[in-house]
Amino acid sequence: MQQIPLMDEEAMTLLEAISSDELESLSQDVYTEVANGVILGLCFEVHRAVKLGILFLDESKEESEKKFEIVDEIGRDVFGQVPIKKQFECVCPNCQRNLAASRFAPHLEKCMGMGRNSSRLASKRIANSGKVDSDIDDFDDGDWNYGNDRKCKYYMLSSIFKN
Amino acid sequence: MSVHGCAHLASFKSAKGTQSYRVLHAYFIAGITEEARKKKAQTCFCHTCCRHTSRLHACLYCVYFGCYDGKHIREHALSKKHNLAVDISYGTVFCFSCGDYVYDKELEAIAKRHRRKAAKLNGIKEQYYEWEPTNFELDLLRRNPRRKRISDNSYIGLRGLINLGNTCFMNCIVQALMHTPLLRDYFLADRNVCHFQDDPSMCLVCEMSQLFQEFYSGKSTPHIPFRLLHLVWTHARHLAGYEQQDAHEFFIATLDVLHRHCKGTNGLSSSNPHHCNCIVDQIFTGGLQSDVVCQACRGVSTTIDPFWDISLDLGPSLHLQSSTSGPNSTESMGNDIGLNEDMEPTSLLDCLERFTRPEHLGSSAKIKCNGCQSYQESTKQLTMKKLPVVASFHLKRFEHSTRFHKKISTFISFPQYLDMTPFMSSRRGKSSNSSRASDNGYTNSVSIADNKYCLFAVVNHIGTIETGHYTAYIRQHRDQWFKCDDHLITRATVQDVLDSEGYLLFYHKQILEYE
Repeated sequence: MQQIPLMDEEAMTLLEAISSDELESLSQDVYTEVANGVILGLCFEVHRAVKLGILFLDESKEESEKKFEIVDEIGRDVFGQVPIKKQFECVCPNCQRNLAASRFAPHLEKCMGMGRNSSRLASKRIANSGKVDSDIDDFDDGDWNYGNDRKCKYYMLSSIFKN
Repeated sequence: MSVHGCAHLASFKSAKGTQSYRVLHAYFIAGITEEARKKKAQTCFCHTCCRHTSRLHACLYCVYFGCYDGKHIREHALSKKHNLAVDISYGTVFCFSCGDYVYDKELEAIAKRHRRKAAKLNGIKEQYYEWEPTNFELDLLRRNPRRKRISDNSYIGLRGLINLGNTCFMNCIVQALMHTPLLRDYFLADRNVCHFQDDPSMCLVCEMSQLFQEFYSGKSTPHIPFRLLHLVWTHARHLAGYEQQDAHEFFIATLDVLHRHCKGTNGLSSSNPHHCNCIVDQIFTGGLQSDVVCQACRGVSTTIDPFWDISLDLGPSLHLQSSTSGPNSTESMGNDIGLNEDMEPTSLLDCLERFTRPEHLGSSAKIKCNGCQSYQESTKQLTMKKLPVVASFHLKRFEHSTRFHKKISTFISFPQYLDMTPFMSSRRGKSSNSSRASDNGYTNSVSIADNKYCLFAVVNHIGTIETGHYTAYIRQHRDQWFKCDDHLITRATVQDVLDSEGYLLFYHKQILEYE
């Protein structure tokens, strides 16, 4: 039998005086009481939920669940679709133009005046025409300093590992 | 059908108040003080048959305990016309006139307060209570009976992402974030309140919230994240344009913008990271402790810096290592001038061990010691002071800043379950061998389990440093893994994940603590 680190001397002596049969019966009683208490607690939970009308709040119909079941077939994705190259479209939030989704990133780069090419083209245009082109109104001078801004803005630890 | 008890209880309360319930509950049900618990143990038995068990009830009108099974409380109620009694085990009120247990909001509030007090007595700081709808929510739920239940085999929560032109780096980070359990729960539970001070359509946090709605919509067509790309590029202009970008860089930039937008500032991140309590900080921010020991006076200078991720070097170690610092360290180092054969890490644990190893900063990197008031050689050690809920590891397979034009493709094994205990600041100075033996069985078991993490997302890079493709593995429903290759979502095994090269590794804390 495992040693129980009892603090109480009196309790220790009492425990030692009990026969193992008595101890067995007592532990059985304790166990039954605890088990009954737990079951009672669960009954109260359910009873209360029914009384308040909140027991079946999250029930859903089986048919609706089947609709979203993962598909495990080779050649199909988890949605059961065959992966074919479909053309998706989107609207550029900058210029409101409609374009193919797979070409959105390069378009957005030019549209927002980011990246090396756009800046070069823009500054060339400014130099040539002498006035600012309306297309590149939001050309941000800050782009040229992006390398320095990066380090202060967020917590990269690369500086620790620089030799 | 509400928490308003019954008419009989209502009239009892207006006549006699809640005093008797309060006293009964405090002493005999919750036991909110040591003295109360003693009383509870000594006096809880049926006044008629003297039994301890069989569902004891206490009369609300007078001092009487009677058992339910032996019908003694019923006899008491009928004979004395005391129609209300409290169940001693849980504090629920039984109305004999109604013939049923009744639930009253006011009494439940009293009971909750008492239980909290009693829990504190037992060392339980905060208790978990299940969510319950308010009246408004209840009404809403009843009027809208359709439910989207996410069963184990549901694809709700999974969604493909269209590649907008070399934007797989963004797609992978989105997948990782969408499957960060705490982040997902925060947004789906509608906890977010927008603090963005400008045009709300430019708030990245709101866009993130919208993304979660898209992922849990049940739609099977891939999502086109063009708005997200526009927002991130608008708020993080340094992420120059269209060329293939680094997923890690995108991850940090995204967290930064989210953090800023959570706080409502549109400019540079001016808020003190130590005082921020936004969802980004709550989930991703950890504290990295740096201890610099002066070799001359042994004085220690400690700083703690916040971090969102840990970048780990691969390849051979470039510094001469020494795990003990003593007056003869320079001599012993002279003898070991060759690199140890296990200097190249082959596992995440190797990398972490190297990351938290004390490093001797050579004579060319002397640090000004405040104790000696002069420049001295020193050792530096990094350890984890505070672990974030989500620990993100970045294996430095590329070096964009230096002239490294090679990708380090060595296989670095990483575990599904990670214990960060050996890398904590509290372990500083103790050798790894002493860890298990010295802990006796009675140490607080909660603090041992505290540092355990579970893998939930892996971002991989396939290809060379010039041209490559990013894919991600994410975990859903506790132990199901899926591969996310832009718009293509397929099932994967955990072995597929663990065998993959690994570039960004995302781990989630297994046990969360209330603050």
